[in-house]
Amino acid sequence: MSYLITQGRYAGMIAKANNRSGAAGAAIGPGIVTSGAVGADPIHQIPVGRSFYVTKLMWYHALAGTVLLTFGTLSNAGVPAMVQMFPVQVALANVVGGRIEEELAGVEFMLNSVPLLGWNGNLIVTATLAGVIVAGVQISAEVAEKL
Amino acid sequence: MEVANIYDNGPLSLVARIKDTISAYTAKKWTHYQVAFAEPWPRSSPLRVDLVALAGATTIVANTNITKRLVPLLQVTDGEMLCVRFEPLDDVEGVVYEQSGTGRFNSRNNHARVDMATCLRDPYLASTTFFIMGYQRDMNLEAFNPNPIALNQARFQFQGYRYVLDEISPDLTGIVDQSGRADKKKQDDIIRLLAAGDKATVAQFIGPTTWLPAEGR
Repeated sequence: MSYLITQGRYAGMIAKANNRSGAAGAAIGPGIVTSGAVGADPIHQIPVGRSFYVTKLMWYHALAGTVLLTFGTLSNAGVPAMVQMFPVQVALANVVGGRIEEELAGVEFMLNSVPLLGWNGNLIVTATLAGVIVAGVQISAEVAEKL
Repeated sequence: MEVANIYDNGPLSLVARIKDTISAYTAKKWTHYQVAFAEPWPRSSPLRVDLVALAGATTIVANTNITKRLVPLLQVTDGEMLCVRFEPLDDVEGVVYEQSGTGRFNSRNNHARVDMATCLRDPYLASTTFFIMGYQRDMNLEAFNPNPIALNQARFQFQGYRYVLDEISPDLTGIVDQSGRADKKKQDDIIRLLAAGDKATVAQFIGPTTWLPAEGR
């Protein structure tokens, strides 16, 4: 994604302190989301009338094995499902990993209110190890909101 | 000088110099003043207000506002005028009221806000310019949180200029009728035309002036 897009036209904002974290957004943490063992974990929620690009992702875990991270948004289906927005990322144990703006595709996270087929536009992640959702993966995201 | 270029997209500067005359539109009439003193209000921490703290709250709730309230740091005494610009330092939107009942930056169906992105398109914040004139004519500020999460602070930063003004009362003693007595009807007409902002009358009895929208009420 063009660096100019986020620096020139959009406000760069680090995910705000107290953004939702953990399983179902139950836990509140200042910036870091720690994955839960059930379902997807919300990382950044869209403010009213805005959209955003992801400009940085960071992750770390100390689990025994390689974790796969799927970043996306949540569908409007009756049982909301992951709408994948980036290729799956590999998170090695005890190694800090991440992606910077130039490495990330310029996907715009935006509300699509079409019933069932649309999505809410919030950034979520699922962390799986050997096909099982796992807790304990730390993830930070930086986004550029369009307003 | 005629109309002050206060909304031009540049740094805020004095709208009139000391001893200049200004004509301000407020409370639906024009009033004429001489500038007695002027000084800058540099952007700094004393000119910063946190509406969460001001409201005695701990957060500004998600998708909710802190209702409009008086901002003490912007209160002035009679004869003082502020010309200020502002921006939010946190991800909230500011809504300005001239006194508590009249919106600023509004129209029949709209009330525009100032948000964190205002300075991206308008780097000198010219579009946020507003005035406060005199005692008991305070502005009220409301903050809206567009985020789906609560925020701990809703800070706003102000900067601008402070003026001390002397109201001008034109000398109408020379307005007499044919018998040499004061022509009250003509004097009243002149006072009415001055309040209406009639340019020829203002030029004759007030002199060169700078026209200011001031509160725009």
